[in-house]
Amino acid sequence: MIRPVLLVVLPLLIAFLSVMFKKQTKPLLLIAVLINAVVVFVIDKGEYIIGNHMQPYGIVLNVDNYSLYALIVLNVLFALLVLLNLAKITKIASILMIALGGLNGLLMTGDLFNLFVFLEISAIAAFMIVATNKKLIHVFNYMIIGIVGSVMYLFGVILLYSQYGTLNMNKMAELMTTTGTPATYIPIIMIFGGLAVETKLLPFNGWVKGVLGNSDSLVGPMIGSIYSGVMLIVFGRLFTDVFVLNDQVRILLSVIAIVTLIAGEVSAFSTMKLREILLYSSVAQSGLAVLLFLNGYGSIAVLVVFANVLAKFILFMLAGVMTNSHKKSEHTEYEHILNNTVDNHDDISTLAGIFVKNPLNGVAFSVASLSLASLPLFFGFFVKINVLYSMFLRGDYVLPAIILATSLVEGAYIIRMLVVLWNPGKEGEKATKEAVTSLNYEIDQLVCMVLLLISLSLVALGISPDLAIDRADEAGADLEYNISTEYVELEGGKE
Amino acid sequence: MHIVGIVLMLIGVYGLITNRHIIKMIVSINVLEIGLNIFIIAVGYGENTIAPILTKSNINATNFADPLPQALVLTAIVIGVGTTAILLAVARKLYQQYGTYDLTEMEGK
Repeated sequence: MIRPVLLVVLPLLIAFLSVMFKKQTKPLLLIAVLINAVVVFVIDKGEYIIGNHMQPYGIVLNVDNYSLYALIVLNVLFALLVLLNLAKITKIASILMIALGGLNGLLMTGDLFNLFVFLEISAIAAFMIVATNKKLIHVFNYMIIGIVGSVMYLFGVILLYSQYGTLNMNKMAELMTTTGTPATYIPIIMIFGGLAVETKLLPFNGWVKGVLGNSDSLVGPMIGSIYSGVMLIVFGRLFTDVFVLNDQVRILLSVIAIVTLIAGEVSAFSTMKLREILLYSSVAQSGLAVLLFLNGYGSIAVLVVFANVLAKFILFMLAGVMTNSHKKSEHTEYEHILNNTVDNHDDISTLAGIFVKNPLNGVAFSVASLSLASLPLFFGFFVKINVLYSMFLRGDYVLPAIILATSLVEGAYIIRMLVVLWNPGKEGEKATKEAVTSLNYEIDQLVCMVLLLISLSLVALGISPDLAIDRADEAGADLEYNISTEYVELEGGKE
Repeated sequence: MHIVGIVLMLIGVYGLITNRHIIKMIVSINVLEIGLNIFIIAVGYGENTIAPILTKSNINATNFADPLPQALVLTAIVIGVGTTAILLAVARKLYQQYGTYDLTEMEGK
């Protein structure tokens, strides 16, 4: 068995080596991500104390089921993303390794200040990854908001330290067993604000449109799927396992999550641009996951996060490829790449019928979208039905009403998007080949197949969710204030 | 000293909100971070405490200042320098691209 600290140390070490061996950065990146993707399956569970300093004085890494499953998803998806984009990764190979080390650290650390350090490492790597899109104004805005968020987080952590005298999460959870005074909640709200930047909650998500609205097949899945998922899992750790909230603060933060959920879905409905639809949907899903974590539905929130991460991985990658489509008459083959003359075709009407030309991509995109829209047979449906079931069991009827209403909006814009992408021509008229967009895009067959396989996993998990239920239960059991433990497992209701 | 830190942080936030000049925004970010660092140091300070360095003369002393915030501040300063360096690099690239440091003018071009 292998110590979990290797998941952080190996990518960081190889990243520094890659600076010395600049011509070998790609092979080194491949080695780092592949080793991590294998090592994550054989690491020791439990607490790993760095430097053997007695708790709570030393830094501790905590690998329980909750963080282990997140680590597996993170490292496997990260490796896939690197493999699928290997051709276009030129200058940022070292940055990607630093990002991987930082994200692994975020999921494992049991220390609030160490969490800040990993937040900064992964945030700085994210700034550099986003900068590959050359939209520097958006990068600058992202950096400013990100740094302000980090300052808020650190301010909150120091205020908590001054009250409790520890930065160790386990120790703080022990000391914070009962609801505290208003002085306790100010730092918690500051920490919430700090994490709200990366979890894309209002009002700290101003960067999302600029960054994800211009994303390609690397930046989109990285920021919209992997980073987002990791930050939500970290949020869940802090707010379902460490901090104790009173009713007023829980309601206040829940309102922010609900406003994010509603604003995200409404914004997605009101736009016709492909990447904007996805990014606003991502904002809404973050709002939903945060809402569930805040109200104690830890296991269900984990399912929401994983379903969203898988779906958004496929969607952002295909959207990144499709929106860089070009007309054959405009550019000869590959000329657009050589001359960097790619036009962004983001409006779904300009991409009408593009899946008729690329049915395999269409199937993968449709399955991920329909899972996101919570249609039966897909993993998203199973997750959404359990969200509602858990809430009804607890006698909560307001939140399910909001979630159902937003799900309707979500279903409407996703179906509208799929209809246009599959079926060219005007509404009510028969689709013809002439109406199909003249745009084309190149995509590797390997990418097609991998995305199709991931999308099929969403169907498999939708039909047979036992595997997901068991993992969610185990993950939820590690969260102190998790209350969701019963599930709808079978067709037609609970057994 | 807590108050000094908080006032500096507020000045930094004010600078960020009211400025569209990217260099001034970077300076504001730095003021914000310095305010936070002073606040962290203030948390570790106590009346009649001595520097947390063990020497022959204070081997039996029990009134050391809390050393942890000082260690945290060192890390926070290093991270702050790193982020400032990246911000300045992006600012330089933006200037090369747009010929101005004003965000409003950049967005108009």
